Amino acid sequence: MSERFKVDLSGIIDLASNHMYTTSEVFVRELIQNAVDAVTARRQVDPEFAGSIRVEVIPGGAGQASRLSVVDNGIGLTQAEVHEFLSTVGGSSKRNDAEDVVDRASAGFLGKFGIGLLSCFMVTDEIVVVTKSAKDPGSRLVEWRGRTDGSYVVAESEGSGAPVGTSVYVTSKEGVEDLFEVERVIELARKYAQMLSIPIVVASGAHETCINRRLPTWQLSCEADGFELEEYCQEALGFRPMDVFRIEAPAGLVRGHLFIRPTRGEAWSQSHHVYANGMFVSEQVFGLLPRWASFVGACMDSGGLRLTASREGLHHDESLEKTSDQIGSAIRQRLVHLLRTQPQKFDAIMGVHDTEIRGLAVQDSEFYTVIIDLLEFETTLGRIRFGEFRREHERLLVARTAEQYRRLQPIASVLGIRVFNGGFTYHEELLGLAAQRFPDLSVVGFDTSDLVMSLPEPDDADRFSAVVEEANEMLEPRDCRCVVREFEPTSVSAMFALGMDAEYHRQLDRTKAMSSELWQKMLESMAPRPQTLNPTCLCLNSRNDVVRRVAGLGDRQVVRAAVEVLYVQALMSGQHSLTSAEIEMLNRGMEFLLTRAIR
Amino acid sequence: MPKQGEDPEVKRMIEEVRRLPDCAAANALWEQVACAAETRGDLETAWRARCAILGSSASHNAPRFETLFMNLAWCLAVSDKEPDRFAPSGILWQYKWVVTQAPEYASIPRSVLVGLVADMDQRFIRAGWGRRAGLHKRVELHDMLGEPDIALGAIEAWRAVPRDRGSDCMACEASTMAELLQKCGQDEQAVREARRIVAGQLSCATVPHCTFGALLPSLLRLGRLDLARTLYDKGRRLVASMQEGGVTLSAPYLLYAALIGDHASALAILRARLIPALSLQADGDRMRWFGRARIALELLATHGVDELDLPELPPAFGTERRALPLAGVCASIAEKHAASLDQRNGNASMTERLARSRAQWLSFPRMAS
Repeated sequence: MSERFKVDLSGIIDLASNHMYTTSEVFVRELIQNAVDAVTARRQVDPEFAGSIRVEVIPGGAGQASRLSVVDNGIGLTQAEVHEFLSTVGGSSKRNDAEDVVDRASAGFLGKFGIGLLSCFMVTDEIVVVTKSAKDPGSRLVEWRGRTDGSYVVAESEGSGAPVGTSVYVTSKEGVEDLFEVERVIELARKYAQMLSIPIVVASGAHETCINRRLPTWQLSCEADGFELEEYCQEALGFRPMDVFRIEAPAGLVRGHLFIRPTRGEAWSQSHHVYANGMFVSEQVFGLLPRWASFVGACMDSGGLRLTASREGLHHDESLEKTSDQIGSAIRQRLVHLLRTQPQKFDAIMGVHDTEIRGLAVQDSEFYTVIIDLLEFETTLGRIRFGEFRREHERLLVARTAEQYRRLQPIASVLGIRVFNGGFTYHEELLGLAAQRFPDLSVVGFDTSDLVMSLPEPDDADRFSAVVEEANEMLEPRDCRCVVREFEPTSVSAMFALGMDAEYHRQLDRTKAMSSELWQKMLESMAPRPQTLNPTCLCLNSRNDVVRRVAGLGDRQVVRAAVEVLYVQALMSGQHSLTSAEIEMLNRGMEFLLTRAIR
Repeated sequence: MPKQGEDPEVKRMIEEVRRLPDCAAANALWEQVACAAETRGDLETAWRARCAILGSSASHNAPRFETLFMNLAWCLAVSDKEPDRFAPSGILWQYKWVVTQAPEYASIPRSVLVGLVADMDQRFIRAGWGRRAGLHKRVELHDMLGEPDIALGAIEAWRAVPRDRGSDCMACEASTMAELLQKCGQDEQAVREARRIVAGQLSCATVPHCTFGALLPSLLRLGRLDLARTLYDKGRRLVASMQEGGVTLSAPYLLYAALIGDHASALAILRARLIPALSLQADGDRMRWFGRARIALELLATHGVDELDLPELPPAFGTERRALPLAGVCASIAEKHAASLDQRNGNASMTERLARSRAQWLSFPRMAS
């Protein structure tokens, strides 16, 4: 036999009121939302009807609680509807009218779930609703009182003379009095409802404030209302934008504006203003903007995306994914448009969001094609636009890490070898993609060991043969060999050169040396040393005065000590981490040389 | 000794990397931070950077497991030397990721894999975290060693130990179980194990993304086609939104798309994931991905989809764009890695799994999309 679930009513009310929302503030939104839906419903009956909503705050005095009422002149409810919609958790007057979210949204309804009113129980112990229906001119006034324990009472009274519409009254409970302060209510009403077209007034005593904007921002034009949009961005998102542009994403019936931020920031901390049918949803709506779009802020309204029950987030569904794609596409198009029509503005944006835009180019092949030639890269011979280089060269050398670049830069620049710095974020990826995109261009990794290979041998190479022999004997166990080359600047005595593979294995060796036996085996088996690995190289500079003097020494012991010091010095100037054996080598060499000098 | 993070260059790099999402570029930059800090003797910052690398190198957005292995080795060594300065508890969770991934690499010998599980287990016990994670990883290890019976036999011991702070989350545990049961042909049990995931009551970073895909063969065998279609639709969409980490997870959906004649989705997955799949490093990942791609391509060819509109492929594929020859290339990649794993494992389990899976999928009746 089929049975029905049982429901703990007070538990459900507690869940829907106290645990569903991230903040108690939302009770203001829910009350206004119900009022808007009531006016919308009346407009369906009478399209010419001018609705209005009034939020009244009565501050509490000493020992007295504050009160807040939201009064609308909307459709109102009959007694039967009060029982059905106000007293049935999950019963919404809006849901049956239009089952489909888009239909309901296009009809102008905001609510859906029939639980919004319960949010008031976060701030009050009793909700009072007084309503008169527009459907029957002779209808009576109905008063409904609902309490947190799930009980309610309904009373009817003579309604002649009373206006059609609904008034909701809540009295603050202890601890939330600040949410009933006039300024706070104005602030919250603005936050949630400023974009709505139905006039909303917050009143307290004789003081009245209309919280609506002239027009919702998505109805503003970038051309005619550019200043107003910038002001809005400053006020709402906290920055003056570098660029404002309009977007429309049909998938989620989304329209609005995107604002390019003037500074960089962490992607997760960026806020946006997202609305659903004019009512504010959230500042952090995950999934709406592409992950890479951290450089834009958004103010958008959606008429077709599904909201979660708390109305503080969006459902992750296909519609949201398509919307996100369409927004991403709009951002790319705008960047390309700026690049072609306002290159100075584009350069300024690149100046701030270089990394993000390069990241976008890495991910998006279409955007890459458009932008790559215009991107600047650091090279050992100065900055250069990629397109400028590509048109004149068939081979591009790139140092894959910033460390490699820094080590080879002083020498490569003097020798006139242009090496691109791939160590900046996304630079190596962008250059790597160039090899696929432009078949005539080969992109080749270049490191210090390649640099050494490109250096000339000195004419008097014989002069250094004893030093080289001594050094090779000493360095052989370290999988390192010594060469002598002629290069500038002469102040550099020696360079420690190792390729990328060797660098990785040097790090691996260092880690292995620190590790337990088990982990040594693990690292060994994970990355066996390739047979073809180039040995590391100590490259002595034949033009350096110290090196020349060492080469002239006859004492093998002194030569050996000098080479040890030169070796470790080369490691240090290349900012390589030293192993304990290398530190010991330096100490030994220095001690020997000092002892000799003192003697 | 310089104070932590005081070096301006190191500080600049840390600020930069914090602005980046989880990606290869972020990993590379953290690596530079670690090296620079280590060189300057700032071990705290180096530790912080390497811990960050542990997190990002195992991220489902941009997994880099070789990087994870080396950095965990470094962190373990540093922490073992000075446990009060570098708390071991900060890296134990990441040890589980290593133990999960290591068996996927055929070059890592069985003895080392067994040693890693034991080492992890001991470290968890020392940290007061309990044994559940160690026993769980033992089950996974035997599965990857091609010993499903031992894996199934070890489940009882794993499940008998109460959950503790070192245990995988309930979603991951249930997903692992469901996948293992599916592989062993215990279809009813697999679906039952995953019921809370299917119902949306349990989820994690890659659950249900991986679970829905893993359940598809069981559901087909059980004739539960409606549920299979639902999980396919949901799972495919979830995986499509993932970046690099979605490569391995995409293969079951590719296979199912080809089976049901959803050719547009099958081709979309191939276009998006085939080239990145060539960058997968682990033998297990490559074996599974290319093994499934091979069957999918064969199914496409059977359905008359022969000439494929794919992006320019690397030389391994030549200029061939027809489904069957491409299936041949995928088959040779998958079989090579299965053979490597079998050699390490000392059995023929992976090669047999590939063949069994192919025979099974090719025998499923074609369904309307």
